[in-house]
Amino acid sequence: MLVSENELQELVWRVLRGYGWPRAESKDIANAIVWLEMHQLDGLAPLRTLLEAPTTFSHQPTTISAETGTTITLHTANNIALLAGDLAVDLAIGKALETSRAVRVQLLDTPVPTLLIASAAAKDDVFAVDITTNTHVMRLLHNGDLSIAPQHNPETAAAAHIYVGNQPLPAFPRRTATHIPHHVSQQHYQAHLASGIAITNTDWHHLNMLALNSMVEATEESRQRGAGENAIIG
Amino acid sequence: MTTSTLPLRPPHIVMQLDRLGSFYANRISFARSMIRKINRETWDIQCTTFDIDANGYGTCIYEIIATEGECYSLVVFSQFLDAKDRTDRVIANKWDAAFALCEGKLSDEQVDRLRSELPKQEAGRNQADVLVISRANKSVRNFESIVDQLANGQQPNPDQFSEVGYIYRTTAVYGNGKFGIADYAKLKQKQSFKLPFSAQMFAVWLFREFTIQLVNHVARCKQPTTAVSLDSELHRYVGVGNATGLGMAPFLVKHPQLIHQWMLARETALARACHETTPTAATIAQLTDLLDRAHLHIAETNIADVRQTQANTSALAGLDAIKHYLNTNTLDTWVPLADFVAAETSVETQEIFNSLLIELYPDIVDDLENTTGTIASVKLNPTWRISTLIDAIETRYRWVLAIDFDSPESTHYFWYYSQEKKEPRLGVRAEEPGADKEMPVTIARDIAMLYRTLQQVPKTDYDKAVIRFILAHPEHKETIRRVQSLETFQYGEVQANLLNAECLPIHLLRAKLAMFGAGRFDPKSNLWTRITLFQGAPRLTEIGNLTSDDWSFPCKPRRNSYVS
Repeated sequence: MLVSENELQELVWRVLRGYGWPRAESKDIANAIVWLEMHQLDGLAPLRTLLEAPTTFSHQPTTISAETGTTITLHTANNIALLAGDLAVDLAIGKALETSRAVRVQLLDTPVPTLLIASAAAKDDVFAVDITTNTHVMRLLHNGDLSIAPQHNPETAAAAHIYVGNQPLPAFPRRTATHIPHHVSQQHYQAHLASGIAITNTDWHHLNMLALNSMVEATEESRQRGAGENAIIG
Repeated sequence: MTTSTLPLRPPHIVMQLDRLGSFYANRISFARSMIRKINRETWDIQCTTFDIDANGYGTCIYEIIATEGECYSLVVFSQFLDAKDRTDRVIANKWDAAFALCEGKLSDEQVDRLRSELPKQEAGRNQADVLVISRANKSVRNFESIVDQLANGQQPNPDQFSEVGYIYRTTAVYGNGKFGIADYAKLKQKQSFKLPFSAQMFAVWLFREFTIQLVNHVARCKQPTTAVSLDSELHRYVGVGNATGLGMAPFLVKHPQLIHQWMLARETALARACHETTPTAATIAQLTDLLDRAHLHIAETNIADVRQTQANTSALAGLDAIKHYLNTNTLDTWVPLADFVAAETSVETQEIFNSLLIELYPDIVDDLENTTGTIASVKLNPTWRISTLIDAIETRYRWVLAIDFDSPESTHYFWYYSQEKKEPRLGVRAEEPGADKEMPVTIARDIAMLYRTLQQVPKTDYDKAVIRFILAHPEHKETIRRVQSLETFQYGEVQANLLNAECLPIHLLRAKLAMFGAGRFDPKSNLWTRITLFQGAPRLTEIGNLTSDDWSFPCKPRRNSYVS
């Protein structure tokens, strides 16, 4: 079936909120998933992975294990690496802006692949970003060009390199990368706007069921109080 | 005077909840600007299919050639509805009529698909070639009475339209990707519908044309030899009703930058009209006429709600006072009059006056309609100092810091999304379950909690980047991002605690509906209201030939003006 960007975004947001995730991260990750889908990358795959082992979120600080002028290593006490990944991008952007140098953020947990880069891209596309995960290596340039290559070393720790300004970028490390120029991404985006985003009925119904967790069941009392009840007008 | 130096009313005045709940439509409201656009561009609108039976059931299609030749269709399906199924609940899946605004001319396959899905509304699925969907129920009383009178060769008594100013009433009008329709991102790429809610307004206006065509048709089928068509003045006086509930309220909180743009446009229009013009004999005479019209419009509005009736009564007195001031003072500028209105009349009167003053100056305010859209951008700036954040809260959110969130009244309500109704609801925190799934309309409390946490930060850490604070307190990230993102959007926040026991959500609905261009506010509780759209608006046959677009505060046609 085909769904709109807005529907998917709202649905993912509700699913994450239903698990008790905080608003900011629920919004960012919903944006990231839609960003991936609108660029013909599989955004729902990492969500499925996440939901296979559902967990509720409790706010616990993300601690910095080590920090130098250009490197930050994070440990995620809440064990939801995706959240830390989102925060890591914020942290790296802040530090890179302050120092005008590239900043590397390394995560001690392995984040869900691809969402990190989408998180960065969906936030602000003026930065060049390199993301390393245990499955992929990715680069997003400020002009919107995207490169993706498989990660050959599954033991690789997750990390984000954030570049600011016009810094010279190191060569992208994979010759076998898939390059998606910005104009192609835009064509994908326009195609999705024109016809909608394809999603399986199974995913759609599953996510809708999970989204119910963000809503409140009716009671007799709430039915009596409800706006517009018995709103039959002559 | 440039826009930046205009004396705009400050946000602590404009964004007060009771003032928002007193707003009236004005000439840059979306319904008004949409009518101006289609008239200016002479849109070609033809009814190409009118396959409606003698009972009024069937299919009607209008084809539209709009801006720069863009082509659209509005399809309406009218069906029998048992009286017991006629409910205006949002999730109802049976309606007297369902309609959709679509891209291009419709193929037979598209019409078949829409016929299958559209009448089910929220239980149906649509495709991205559909831009707007909505549904409507009859005012059975008006429909049958009008048809009978027209069939017998008589015009209806206009009094019945001042009680119920429509033949059909809609509930939700969707235009943002719901139920599979096109995203707003697609809609705003259209030259015809770049402005917010313009596609929805157009669909409702054209549906209003259908409702008139329908009663004329059914009357003719009933008594072919005696039937007459609805008089053009009465046609103008018929709008489209709408029942609006809490579903609309969180929009104002969720889209603060957009709300800022709407309010800024309105306040700029008001400031230009007040401060960049000089009253003349002609404009004073025009204002006097408008005051008379507004007075009559309100006097003709029959509603049961006690609070709104009191507001209307005070408005009538206030409008009289303004007229008296005009008659007894010489004006070199509008400022003394505006000061008098602000000091001596009710908030309801003030906002009527503001709409009327804006009405006088199309040449200097109409361009502001193009500023009512914005690309929302809510971004975290991780480099802000903690001290900057504290300053921002102390400067822009003083209204929050005055609230005692330790008092139970301050968190009396919680907003939630109902599983059953699929729309927002208001619960009493101490009495109902669900507060753990509270909707994020808790801005005042969020800011207060953030400020409380910030006060625990040692002053020696104030120069640290705010991202360091977020690492330790991730629960505040969304609130911090909001404070940062609204730095230059002074009208972004509704300055009220929406959880308070005294909060009237109806005010939020009124503010948004006024921006749409709605009138005849008829609250049915503190949680929902009935309104009328396009009452007094030009008819389809007038488009392209309008010399005036002033149809604000419509008044009942005098019976002798159209009955021979």
